[in-house]
Amino acid sequence: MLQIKDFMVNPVLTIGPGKSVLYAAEFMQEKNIGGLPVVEGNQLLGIITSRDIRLNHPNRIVADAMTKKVICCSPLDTTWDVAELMKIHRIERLPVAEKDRIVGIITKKQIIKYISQLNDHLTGLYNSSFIYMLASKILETGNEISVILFDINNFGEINKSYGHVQGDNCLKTIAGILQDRVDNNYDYVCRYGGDEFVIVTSKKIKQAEELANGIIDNIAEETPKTGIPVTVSAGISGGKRKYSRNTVKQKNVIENLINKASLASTKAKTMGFKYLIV
Amino acid sequence: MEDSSKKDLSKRKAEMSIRFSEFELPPMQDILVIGRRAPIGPEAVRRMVDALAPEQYELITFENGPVEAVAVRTALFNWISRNVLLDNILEEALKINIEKTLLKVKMDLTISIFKEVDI
Repeated sequence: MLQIKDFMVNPVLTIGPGKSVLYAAEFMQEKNIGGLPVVEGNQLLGIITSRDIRLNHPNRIVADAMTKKVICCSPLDTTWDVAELMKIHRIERLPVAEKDRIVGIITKKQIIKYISQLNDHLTGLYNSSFIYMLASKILETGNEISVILFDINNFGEINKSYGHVQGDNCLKTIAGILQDRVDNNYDYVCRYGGDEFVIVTSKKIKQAEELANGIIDNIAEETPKTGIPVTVSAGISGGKRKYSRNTVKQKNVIENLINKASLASTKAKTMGFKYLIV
Repeated sequence: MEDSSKKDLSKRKAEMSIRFSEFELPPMQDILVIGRRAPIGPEAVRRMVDALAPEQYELITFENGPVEAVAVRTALFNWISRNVLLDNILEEALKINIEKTLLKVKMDLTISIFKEVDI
């Protein structure tokens, strides 16, 4: 997961607190930007936005028109954290500050561009990079984590018998079922690659098992209606918050959980089970 | 030909009047009430006061309402309590459509004392 320091804009266009609102408006128009951090020396004092410009007399000085409570992010924040912050506060531009000193700026446009790279274009689900990041967040918060990996049975045969277009449609149908079944407050679903889908959940393993079982049955019931009956096998693995503060170990925990779930799913398939828990 | 002779006859004059008076220091008298959308905001007033009359005015800001701040000559607080002064100023200022303007307030304070004494 990228950190803000990796793609923030630097140097930042700023304005002094003693400039007039009119000057700020003309400067913003010339540079085609919607907001300017207000800086004196190295200190970040506030931010003046198009809204502040609209509401204040052009004769006022920027110090009297700016928004004083500035929402900032740290260069070490993740893109996900910043996307959430922007969503909560409905802001388009966020100064990046380090000890009250402005070191960069990040825009909503940049964040959206990055997040769209986390999407799987065929199914609309997130891809595996996103799931690693989410799993890290679950571990950081100290929650339990369970991973369910679904693998389509005989997907190669489906492609051969019905063609790749129908194969893709089949993947889309399964993605739709997964999205319908998950609870967005606890479960995160992604296309892991090829015909594999992963759900990372903060639920305990018993609840994860119930979820997996329901999805497997649902896929078996729903897919015949599309003309291509499909079944899936699943592997379920669970972990705890043992390494909640160590990023490297977190990644190892997640990789290990996904790997275990993958092997369990293959084993379930060969043994003719719907799923296996490891 | 006729037009140009007319032009020669006309004369352009400007009247000039010069009036000298003493610059009031500071130019804001006793109190300045700053509307929330006035052309000059509290920070600009603070800078002006600091430059023209350092340590003689106190700037009091308000979170809400049409009055954003008042700058009060601190000497007034020697005569009248802060709350009484502010309450009265705000009460009167709010009767005017203050939000987009600055009000210069001149305050005359007279203390009247009547005492009965034994003779």
